[in-house]
Amino acid sequence: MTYRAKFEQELEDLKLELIKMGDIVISNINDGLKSFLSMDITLAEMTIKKDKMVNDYEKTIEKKCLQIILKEQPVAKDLRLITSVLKMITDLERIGDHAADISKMTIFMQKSLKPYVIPHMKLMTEASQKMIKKALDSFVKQDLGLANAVINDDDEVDAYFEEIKGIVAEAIRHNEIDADYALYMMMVAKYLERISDHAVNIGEWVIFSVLGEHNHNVIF
Amino acid sequence: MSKNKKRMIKDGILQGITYLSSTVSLITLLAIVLFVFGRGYKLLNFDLIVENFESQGYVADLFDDFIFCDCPATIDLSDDFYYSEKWGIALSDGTDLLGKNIIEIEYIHPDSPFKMVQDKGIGEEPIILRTDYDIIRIAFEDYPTALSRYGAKNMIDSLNANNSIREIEFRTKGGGVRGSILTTIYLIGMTLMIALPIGVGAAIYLNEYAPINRITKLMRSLIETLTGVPSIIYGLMGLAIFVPLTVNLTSATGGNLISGALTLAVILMPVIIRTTEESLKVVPDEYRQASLAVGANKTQTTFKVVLPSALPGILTATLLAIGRIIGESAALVFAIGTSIKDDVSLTGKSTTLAVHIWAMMTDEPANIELSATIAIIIIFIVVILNIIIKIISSRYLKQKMGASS
Amino acid sequence: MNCSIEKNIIVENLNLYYGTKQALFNIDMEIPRNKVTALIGPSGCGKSTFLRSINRMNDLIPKCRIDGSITYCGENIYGQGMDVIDLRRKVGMVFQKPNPFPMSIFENVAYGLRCQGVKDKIELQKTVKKALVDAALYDEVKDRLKENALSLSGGQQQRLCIARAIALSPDVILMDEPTSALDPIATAKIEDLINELKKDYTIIIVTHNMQQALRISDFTAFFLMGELMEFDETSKIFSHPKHQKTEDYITGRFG
Repeated sequence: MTYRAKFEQELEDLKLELIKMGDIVISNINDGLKSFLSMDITLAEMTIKKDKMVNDYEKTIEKKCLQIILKEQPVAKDLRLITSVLKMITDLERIGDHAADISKMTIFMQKSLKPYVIPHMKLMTEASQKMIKKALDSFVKQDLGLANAVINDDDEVDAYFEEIKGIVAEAIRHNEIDADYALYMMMVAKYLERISDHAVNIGEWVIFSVLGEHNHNVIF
Repeated sequence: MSKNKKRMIKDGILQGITYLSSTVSLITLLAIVLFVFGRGYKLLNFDLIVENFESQGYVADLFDDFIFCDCPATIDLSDDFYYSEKWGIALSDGTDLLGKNIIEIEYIHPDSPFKMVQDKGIGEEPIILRTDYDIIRIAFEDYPTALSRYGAKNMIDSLNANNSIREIEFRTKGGGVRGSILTTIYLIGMTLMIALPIGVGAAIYLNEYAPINRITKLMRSLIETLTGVPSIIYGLMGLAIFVPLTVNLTSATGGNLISGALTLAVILMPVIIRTTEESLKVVPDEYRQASLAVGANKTQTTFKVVLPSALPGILTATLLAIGRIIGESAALVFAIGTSIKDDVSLTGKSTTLAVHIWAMMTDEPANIELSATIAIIIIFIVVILNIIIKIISSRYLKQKMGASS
Repeated sequence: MNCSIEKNIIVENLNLYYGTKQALFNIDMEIPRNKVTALIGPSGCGKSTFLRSINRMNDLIPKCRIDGSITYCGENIYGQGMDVIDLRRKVGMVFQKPNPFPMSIFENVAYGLRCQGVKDKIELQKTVKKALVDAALYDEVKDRLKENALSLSGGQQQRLCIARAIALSPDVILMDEPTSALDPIATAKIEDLINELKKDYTIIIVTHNMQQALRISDFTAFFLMGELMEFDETSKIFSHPKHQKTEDYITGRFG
C-alpha cells in the first residue's frame, strides 16, 4: 500500500516540471549560440522571447513548492528535495537569462563572426548543456556520483574559456579583430562559463538533497 | 424513487409509534392525577393533616355567668345553615368521614355564650369551641335532648326554646392523618439512615475495590435478583426476623417502626447498591488516574474524587428510595401493622400514609374520597422532599465544587 | 535519591507484558535531565505504555507485568521498597484529555498537597498560586479560583492539569498527548509552557504530531511495534534518521 500517494505524485510532478524547464533552458542556450554564430537576428529575438517561458516556469515551480511545504509539511529528505528544487530553479532561471544574454549579443554585434573561435564555442556550449542535463538527471535519480561528475566537468568548460580567451587575446595582439568585436566574443564565452557554474550549483543542490550537505557544510 | 417512498413510510410509522406511546403515557398520568385530585380535593384541608385520627369527645357546660348574645350574624351565612340569634351560633347538617349524620358548628358569634365552654371533666378547663367540631347532643333541663340524628334545625329550635342548657357533648372531627404522616417521615429518615451507608458502602466496594471474579459476579447477580423480589416476601421476612428481634431487644410488643425501617432498608439496599454502582461506573476513569498520578492513594481517590463525582447518582438513588418507602405498603402491613395511631413512637404500631390508604380501603364501606386525599398528600410530600434534596445537593455541590457557570 | 546526575531516568532492558501479549521489547534508553523528550510512533506502538511505566501507572492494569529496570535518580522504580505514591509525586503526569476534578480551580491544584497531608492554609495558598503562575494560568483565573474547574476552556483545563502536577514540585512531568484534544491556539500556549517548564523539569511527552515534536522536543524516541527503533536528538531524527523505518514514519510513508 502506498502512503501519501498525492504527496508522492506532487513530488513527481515537481521533478517533471523541473526537467521541462531544464529542456527549454538547454534549447535556449542552443538557439542563443546558433543565432550568435550565424548572426540570425530573428532566431535571437525568438530566443529572448522564449526566456519568458523560463521565467514563467520558475514562478510556477516556486508556487508549487510553497504549496507543498504548506500543505504537506515535509520533513527530512522530502524537505531537502523541495528546498533543492527551490534553489535549482533560481540557477536554471539564471542560465536562461544567460542564453537570452547571448542572443542579445547577436543583436548588438550586427556582424559576422570570424571563424576561429567557432569550434571552441560550439564545444563549450555542448559541454555546458551536457552539464545541465547531467545535473538534472542526477537530481531525478538522486545520484550522487552523477552530481559529483557535474562539478568536475566544470574544469573542462573553464579550460575552453581559457583557450578562447587566449585566442582572442592573440587576435587582438595581432590586430586581427577590433575591440568591441573581441569584447562581444569574450562576453559570450563568459556567459557560457557562467552557465556551467550554475550547472555546478545545481549539482551541489542535488548533493544537498541527498546528504543535507552543501559545499561540505551540513545545513540540514 | 419507490425505495425512497418505502423508507419514508417506514420512518413515518416508527415516528408515529413514538408519538402515540408518549401521548398514551401522558394521558394515563394525567388521568391518574385528575382522578386523585378530582376525588380528593374536597376533603383536602389543613386540619386533615394536623388532626388526629381518633376523634376526641368532650362533655361541657356553659359558664354560670353567661349572657345571651341576641345578635345577628356578622357574616353572610349559607341557606343550609341554621342560626340562632339568641345564642349566636349557626349549625348545619353534615356527614362525617365515615358517612354518619352529624351536626357541624358552622359559625359562632364573638359574643356568643358558646364561644367558650367549661369542660365537665376533672380540671373544669375552659374550652374554646371551634367551628369544625361536631355536636353530638345538647341536653336541657326539662326538655327533650337535641340529638345529632334529629338534625340541625331541631337543635336550633330546641336552643331557642330554652334559656339554659344542662350540658353539651361535642367532639373533634378526627380522621386526620397526622400520625401517618409522622410515621412516614420517621420511616423515611430511619430507613435511609440504615440503608444508605450500607448500600453506598457496598456499591463502593463492588465498583472500586472488589476483584473481578466469580464471587463478585455472583454477588452482583444476587443483588439484581433481589431487586425483583416482591416486597411482600420482604414483609414476611420482617415479620419473621425483625419483629421478634425488636420485640426481644426493645419494649415493643409487636410490629413497630424499627422493624419496619429495617425491613424497608433490606428492600432498598439492592436498589441503592445498583443505582450507586451505576453512578460510580460512569465516573470517568480519568479522574481516578489523575488522582493517583498526583500521588493520592486508593482511599483518598475513592472518597475525595470518585464519591463526590457520583453524588448526583447517589441522590437519585436516595430519591428512588424515598419514593419506594412512601409507596411501600405490602411489606409494612406485616412489619409494622395496620393500626392507625396518633401517638407515634419508635416501638409502637403505626401506619404510613400508604398503609393508611390500605386501611381506609379495606374498611366497609371503602372510603375512596379520603384515600384520594391522602394520595394528594403523598404526592405533595414526595414533591417537597424532592425539592429539599435538590436544594441541599445543589448547595453542597456549589460549596464543594465551586459554582459552575 | 541522587538526582543530580545528568541522565535521571535510565531504562534498561525493559520488557512489558499484558497477560501473554508482550507490549514492550527490550527498551534501553537514557532520558536526559531538564530536556524535553518526545515519544513518537504509530498508534499501538507502545509509547504510551512506556510513558505510563515510568510512573508505574501501568500498575493499575491487571495482568500487566514488567521485566528489566527503570532507574530514576539512581533507584530502580520497580525495585523492592519503592514507594509508588512517592514516585508519582516526583514523576507527575498530564493526560490526553484534560481531566480536572469536578471541584473548584483552587481545590484541583491543592488536591495533591491535601492528599499529602498539607493542612496549613497559607502554605496551600502560596503553593497553589505558584503552580498556577508557573502553568501560565494564574492571570486568567485569579478572580475565580472558587469556580468549578469544569467551567474553564479546554486549553485552560489542560494548563490547570499541568498546574496540578507541578504543585507537588515534581522532577519529571510525563505528558500523554497533552494537546491532542485542543485547538491550535490552546496548543500553542501549552507548547510555550512546555518550553518554559523544561528549565526546571524533565519532560517526556507522547505526541502524534511530528511538527509538535519538532517544535518542542530536544530528543525524540521513535517506537515501533513495542520496540525503540531510534532515539536521538530531535534535529537529527527529523533530518537524518538512521533507520529507514523512522524515515518512512516521519515522512508519512509508513508501510
